Amino acid sequence: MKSYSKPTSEQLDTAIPLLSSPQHEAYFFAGLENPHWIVPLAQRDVFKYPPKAEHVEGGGIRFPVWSPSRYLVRMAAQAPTEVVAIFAKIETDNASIIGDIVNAAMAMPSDVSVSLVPAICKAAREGALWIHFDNASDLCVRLAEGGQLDAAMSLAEALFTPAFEEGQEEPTRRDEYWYDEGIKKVVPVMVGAYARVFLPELCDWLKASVGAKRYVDPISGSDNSDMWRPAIEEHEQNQDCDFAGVMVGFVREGFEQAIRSGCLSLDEAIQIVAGYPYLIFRRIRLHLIGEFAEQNRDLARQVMLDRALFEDHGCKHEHAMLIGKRFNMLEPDQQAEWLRWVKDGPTGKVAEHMNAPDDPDLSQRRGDYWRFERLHWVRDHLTGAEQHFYQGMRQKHGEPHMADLNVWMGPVRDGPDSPMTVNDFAGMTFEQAVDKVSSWKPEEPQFMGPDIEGLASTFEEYVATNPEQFSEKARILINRPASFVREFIAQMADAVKGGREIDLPAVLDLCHWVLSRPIEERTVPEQEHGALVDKDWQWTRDDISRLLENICKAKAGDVPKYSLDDLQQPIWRLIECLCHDRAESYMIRDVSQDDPRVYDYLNPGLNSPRGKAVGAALEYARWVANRIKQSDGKQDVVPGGFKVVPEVRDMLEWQIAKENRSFEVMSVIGSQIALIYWIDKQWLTENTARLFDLEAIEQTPSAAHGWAAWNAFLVWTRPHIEFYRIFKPQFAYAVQQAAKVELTECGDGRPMHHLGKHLVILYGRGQLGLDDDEGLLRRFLLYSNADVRRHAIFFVGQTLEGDKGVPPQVIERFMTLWDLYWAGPGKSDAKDKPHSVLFGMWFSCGRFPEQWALDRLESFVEVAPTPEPDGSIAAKLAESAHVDIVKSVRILDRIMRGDREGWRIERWLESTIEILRLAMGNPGEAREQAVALVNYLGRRGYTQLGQLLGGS
Amino acid sequence: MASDHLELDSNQWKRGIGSPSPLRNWPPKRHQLLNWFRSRAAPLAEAYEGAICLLEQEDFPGRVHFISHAVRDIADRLVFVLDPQLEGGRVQYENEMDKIEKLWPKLQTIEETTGGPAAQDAVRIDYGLALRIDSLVGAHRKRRQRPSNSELLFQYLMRQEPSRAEVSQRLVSDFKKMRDWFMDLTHLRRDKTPTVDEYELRAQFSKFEGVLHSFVGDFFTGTAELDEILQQANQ
Repeated sequence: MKSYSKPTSEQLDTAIPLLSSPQHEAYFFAGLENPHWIVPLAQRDVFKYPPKAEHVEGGGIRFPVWSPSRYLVRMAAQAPTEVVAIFAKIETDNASIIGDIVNAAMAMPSDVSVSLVPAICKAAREGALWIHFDNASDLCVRLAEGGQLDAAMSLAEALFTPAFEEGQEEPTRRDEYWYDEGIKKVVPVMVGAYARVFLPELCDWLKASVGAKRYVDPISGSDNSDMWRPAIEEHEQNQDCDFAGVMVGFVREGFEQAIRSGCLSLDEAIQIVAGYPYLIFRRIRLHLIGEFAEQNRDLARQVMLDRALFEDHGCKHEHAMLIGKRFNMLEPDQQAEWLRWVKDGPTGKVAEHMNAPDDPDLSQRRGDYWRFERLHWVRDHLTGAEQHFYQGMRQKHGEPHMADLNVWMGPVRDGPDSPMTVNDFAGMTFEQAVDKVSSWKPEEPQFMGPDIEGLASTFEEYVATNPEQFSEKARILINRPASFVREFIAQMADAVKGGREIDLPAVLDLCHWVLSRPIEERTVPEQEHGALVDKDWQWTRDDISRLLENICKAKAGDVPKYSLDDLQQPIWRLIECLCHDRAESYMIRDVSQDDPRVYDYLNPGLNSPRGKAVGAALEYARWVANRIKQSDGKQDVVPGGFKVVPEVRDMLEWQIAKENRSFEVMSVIGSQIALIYWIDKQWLTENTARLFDLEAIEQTPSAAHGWAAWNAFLVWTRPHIEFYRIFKPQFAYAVQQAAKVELTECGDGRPMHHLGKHLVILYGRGQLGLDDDEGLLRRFLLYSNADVRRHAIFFVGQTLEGDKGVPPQVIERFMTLWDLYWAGPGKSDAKDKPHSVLFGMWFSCGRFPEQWALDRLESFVEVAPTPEPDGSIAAKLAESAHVDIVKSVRILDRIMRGDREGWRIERWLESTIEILRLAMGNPGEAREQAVALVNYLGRRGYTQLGQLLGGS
Repeated sequence: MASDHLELDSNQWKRGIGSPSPLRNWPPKRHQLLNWFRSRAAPLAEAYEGAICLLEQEDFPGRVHFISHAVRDIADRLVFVLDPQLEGGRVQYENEMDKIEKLWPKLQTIEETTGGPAAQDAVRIDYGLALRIDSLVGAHRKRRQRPSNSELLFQYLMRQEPSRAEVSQRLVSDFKKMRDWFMDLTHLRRDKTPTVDEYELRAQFSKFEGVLHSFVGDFFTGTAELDEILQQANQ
């Protein structure tokens, strides 16, 4: 071992003031390897004031690392006595330091580390070990192995004695994982070294765990352990989530190990267990007798022939295991006696319970099953009549899962059960299959078990095996229950979408029949648990809408797949009928609380019966338009517009009429404005005011349905100057409203965000100037809701980031836009939400002149030193630093110092080094700032950056 | 750094306190500390600078007394300069007592006007006077409950630290001891001026600088000094 010299008083006088800041203290102690400094430093109180645990604002607790204690840990092997003298005196609630004490104890000889055990025990009892619980368990093992049994026992008690709060079955201050891992390590060692002391302690912990349970009776010993620990041995039915149940496992392992290794005899073990009152201890006793019966055969026989135990419901499993394993230990007459008990059948309360006075047959069946279960325990030893009876019952009933258990947990049910599988339809005609499913009825109402919902799913799978062929037989489903018709039509819709050839006329005939039925008609009797069984025809009608939409959308190459000739009329007849279904969405939402100006209703719209139908109608319009469109030399046009599909125009006008409109349907229409514009611009222009009746918000917000159409337009339609021209008044009104809306944090406000996108894209293209239309965009940027304008600014950066071919004039426009924004509300927007992505992407996209971008970034970080996305900004800053190194270092400095948590510093390190290296090579201000920043970062723990200073 | 030297030199000459100290030989730590005083605690910068100059001029009359005064004052006032929001907290006992004294009747007068109360009886005094006494007692109590100036100083310095750790009581205690050492030499005595060991004076001054520099100086200047100590210690 290396020898060191003691420090001089002068050295100490020089060193100690230099350790004043936490960073210098950490630096020094990380580098000090000399154990002779321990005592002199202790004499100068360097180890006297450990930092306390700190409660963090907003909840949580922090355990500051204390570098002097880390030094002591490193010195523990070389100077154990000195380290112990210091640690033994320390009183702290700081888990980090407690962890150091444990680690130091681990590093020193056990006979010295015992002096630290009281401090560690205290921390354990106070729950202050936290993540060091595992190391403390290791220490316990180490002490036991080192012969320090009393200390190991004290520590084991402190670590593992469970404490329960009133009414709680789980101990307090316990990390389940580390507790289990710890006790797993400690039990074998402590049993091996100290069985007679440790095993009673282990039983005490189990007793305390059982005592904390709600339904226990210490006098009678009843504890329901057959429920929470079905088997003493390892068993699939044991639950690892029950603390007492898990503890039983440790107790069993402890006793088994002790007896197996000869530390204890079976009789001694039984004597220990006998001192505890609960059923679980009686069961452990039985288990041990079963496992180690050779040590006391008389006792094993006596127990097996104890009639009371045979009938003891709580000990059923252990008795079954014992008799099953040790039946051969009984003399033939004893075996016969036991089998006679079985043959005689249940007695007492069990017999009473099984008796059905009005049904002797049932009583007999129950009694036989009881006998079957008991014979199952000794199934390997049966002969003659008993064997014959057992095998007959087994053939009839299968394995008796509950033979030795009072509770059994089965697998979790996954979805509804079906009484049939697809294979059951093999060899049947489609008609036979439909007959089979249509005629099936559940036997009796039950929560579990086969139901119509499950059967309908199976039927759906069956139809999917050959939709082409089955589509020809679609008419067979006329007059069948809705669930099966629906699944059939759904499969047809999927088949059309998948490009498969189905018999459309036959399927449409079925659809016509469905629509001829009263919507509210119920086709299967109501059932107690049949919430997902069709209670009327609505779900089927919804799938018809989907089928029709898929037919209209189907393409063969670039043209519609289906011709209009035979299909247009029947399809429209169906759509027209569906377009009057109920408008209310399936999505449950209290719209009375909504602000229609900030909500996109398209999701509810697409989930409403009428919304689905209107969606199909608009696809129908596209289908027809695509079939008749012509080119005017520049683009495709629909000659005559809605005059060639007047049925769609009439439907739209009905839907937007005041008395019929709904948020759901208006949103569906709004999302298809581009289509409507293509088919008939004039109609759109003439109906804009009706469609987008935004001002209704001022009278009756709950009836301002125009916002649903407008918002869906903003969200789902690409910005175009043509739309701006037609909807100019609506844009102006929406900008006015953007200043008044309030947005919540939960993602609402998307339409308002899209309003910004429309405006800035038109601006970028040069189609909308800042001062056009009475400064509409300027007003939007200056006065709209802060979140709305922040999003518009973010959107510009995001768009430019992904677009490499942006023309210079577009960039110039956006530079003007930023300067306008920053001179206005930009600073306060950045300050209020310093992590929002405002200028970050503008900078990182690299589309702007570098000096301009650096100037703006500097102003930005002055206000918000946490720009996002920080990774891209760092990389770009390193890339641009050569343009203005002084400014770059200033920006870097601001960001680093603004990063209180230190996450950015870590992520930026590579770019930081690159920038600082460049700055260090530049004399003057850049270098001075770089030196200051390197020193600052050194304090933050990045001591490797000191190399950048070189000889400066 | 070079410009600091020149500036210091010229300032030194202008003030004309004795011969110029060999400023160019100052360790970097001292330069950094003086710069920090100038930028962050300007009212105390000259006192610090003066103390350094006197430290270098061993024959300057009254030197220990002046250095001690400067260090004591800096130790006491620094936190209030750094954090102007902080109240000074000094209780002006003499001023307050002067005010009370003007209102305070002699006990004899009270006895005469009230018919001679017994010693154990309560004495009535004017409400305005009671308010003044209450105010003085309150200020005194507040002063006693407040952390010491040293503790306040380190609380402030720790708040500026990246770690924002709690103040180490060892640090406060050591700083107080250092401050008290200078305090003992601050005031002139009736009897003979105490003799001070030059090594001890410089060690205490170095402690004062070392503690402050550890917080406000360049981090890597500190680690360079620590590296030297570690190198010796780990040999």
